[in-house]
Amino acid sequence: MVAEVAAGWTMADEQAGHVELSLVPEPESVATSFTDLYTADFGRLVRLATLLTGRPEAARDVVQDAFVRLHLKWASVRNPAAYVQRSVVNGCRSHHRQSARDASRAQAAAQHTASTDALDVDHTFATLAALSHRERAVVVLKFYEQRSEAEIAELVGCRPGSVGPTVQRALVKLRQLQ
Amino acid sequence: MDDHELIARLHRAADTAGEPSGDLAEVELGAARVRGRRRWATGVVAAMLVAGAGGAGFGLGRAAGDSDRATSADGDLVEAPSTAPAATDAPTDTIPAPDPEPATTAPTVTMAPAIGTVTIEGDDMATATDYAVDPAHPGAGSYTLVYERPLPNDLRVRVLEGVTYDMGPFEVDWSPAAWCYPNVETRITIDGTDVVDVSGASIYADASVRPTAVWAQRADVGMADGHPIRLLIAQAPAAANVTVRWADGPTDTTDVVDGLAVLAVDGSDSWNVEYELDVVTADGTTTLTSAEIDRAGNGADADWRDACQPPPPALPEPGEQPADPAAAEAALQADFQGLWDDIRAGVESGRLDDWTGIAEAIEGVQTGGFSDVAATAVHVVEEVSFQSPTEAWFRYGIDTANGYFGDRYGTAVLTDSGWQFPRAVPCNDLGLAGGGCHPAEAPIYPPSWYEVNGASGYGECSADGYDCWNCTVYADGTEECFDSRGNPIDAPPSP
Repeated sequence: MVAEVAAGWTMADEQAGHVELSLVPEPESVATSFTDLYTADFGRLVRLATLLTGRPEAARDVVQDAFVRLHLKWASVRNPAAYVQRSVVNGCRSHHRQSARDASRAQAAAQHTASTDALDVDHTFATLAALSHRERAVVVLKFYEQRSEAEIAELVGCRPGSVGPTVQRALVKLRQLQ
Repeated sequence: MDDHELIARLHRAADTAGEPSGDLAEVELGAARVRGRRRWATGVVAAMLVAGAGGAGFGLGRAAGDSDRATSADGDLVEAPSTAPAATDAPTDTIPAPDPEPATTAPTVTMAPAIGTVTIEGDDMATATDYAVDPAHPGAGSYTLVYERPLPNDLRVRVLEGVTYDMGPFEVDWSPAAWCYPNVETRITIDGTDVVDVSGASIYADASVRPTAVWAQRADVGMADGHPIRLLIAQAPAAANVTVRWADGPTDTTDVVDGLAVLAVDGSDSWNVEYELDVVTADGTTTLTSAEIDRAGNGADADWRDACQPPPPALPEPGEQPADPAAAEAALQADFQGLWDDIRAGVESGRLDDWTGIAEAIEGVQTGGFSDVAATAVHVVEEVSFQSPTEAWFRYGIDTANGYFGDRYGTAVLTDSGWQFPRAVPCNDLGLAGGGCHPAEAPIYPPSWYEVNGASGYGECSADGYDCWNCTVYADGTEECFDSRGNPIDAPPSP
């Protein structure tokens, strides 16, 4: 497998667990303390995690857990905002893997009729649940968070070149569920 | 469902979360519990080692009940007098032998009010070294005390050296130059009456390999205690003395011991503040800026890229050359720059073979979260390979305020009005900045890329959604598959 070296990221960082997400822009107002970051980003991250898990209550737990991990590593994390975002995406993956309900939701989505239900929020969650975690993450990060492909690759942990094909695969699946 | 509808639906779904409000105290408590579990798991041996670490801790707060050691919390480290480090007393000691005092005093620790007040029981003052030897933490293992410096107000900073990494080869027949990456992990501990904390820094086994022969890394400690201290861990093998001058004012000077020095001033936010470092050697004083020292990992530095990143996939072998290759290359570069001028100006010139969706894509960039960075982008053609007088492959990079996006590839054909580029070139670049083209375009890679990275890839999940895997298909038909954690798997299971 080819090792990837993204700009601003070193093998030493990776091996030390200090992964830098250099392509992920700093938040608009750079938080100078844990409290500032928590206050500024909690709501946004819960909404992101809601899309990734399909459940607001689970989303809140994922984000709280991510901030606990950040708190534990606060002194050694150079880009806390990026760290906690990636923690949330990873946390949602764990949730996704544990959620056996996703499969039945996908089946339910497939049986949905179009028209009125097409705009229904539940249907959105159900169709997202039909995607793999990676597909769901790239769709949400691209179309909801308006992230660039490079940012998405870093947040999801894949090669930048695979983001586009993953998006296309996901969109095909979503359209099949319409 | 088009993109706009998808975006609208995602926003409506996300809004079901309402305006969630967090509970900071819950986070603090959760972190405290994890630390407690770490201590428990580390066991009696670690506890003995911890006790011997002289009361080092992991930033949970000061010992409220330790009043006989109390000193003023407002002690100023700025312009702190240099004190000869004591590392020479015990430069090769491993973590010192147990000292029962901290464990037996087992102070109650109070979290700093700035992040909520939570009182927890136990010996958290001892946690710093516990954390350093925590087997669950990356880089855990045997640590050697290599540096110690007393600071004002009964503070002490220490450097414990841990794992040395082998930094290559990254690929067959290629390794980065020795100066590219720091390869020794350290734990930086600070302890005193008011502050206990641990951080980390990556340093070099031999910093003299770097072009500047100097390396330095920033670390912020003491934030959880309400007493932030900004550290600069400096390696200067040939120096006797170093002085840091932070751009926002504070300075510190100290001696270099065995090539290492830790400079400390009051404050935090070290990663957002530039500095100058005066390095005093027998030959005189050299002043380096933080930008010069931070050079490792800077993809915008051509020397760094050449020495530290794997060589890019080769362009196809040249074919019949233009009559004047240099002039043809200059014309291609000029037309490539002109293409981007046309795109920004909305002029549908002959420099692009198909303008479908380009205007929408550039609008997506300009209204997206990456617009500021995209506005700084400069396209740099690095190499051109003419396949014929009218056909070319080229490699280029995009220099932006957020880094250099190199190893990008394009093709061009010569028309009556100059060099013309395929729609995929700007579409791939705009996609990088959040402006996708519709219909989408596949990335452009030279044939040599596919020899290494495979001709195609796919991802699948098991029917119950529990297990997912991604596979790459190579030109010879072989596949390489990884599970969702990136672990290689022999063969993909049936979906």
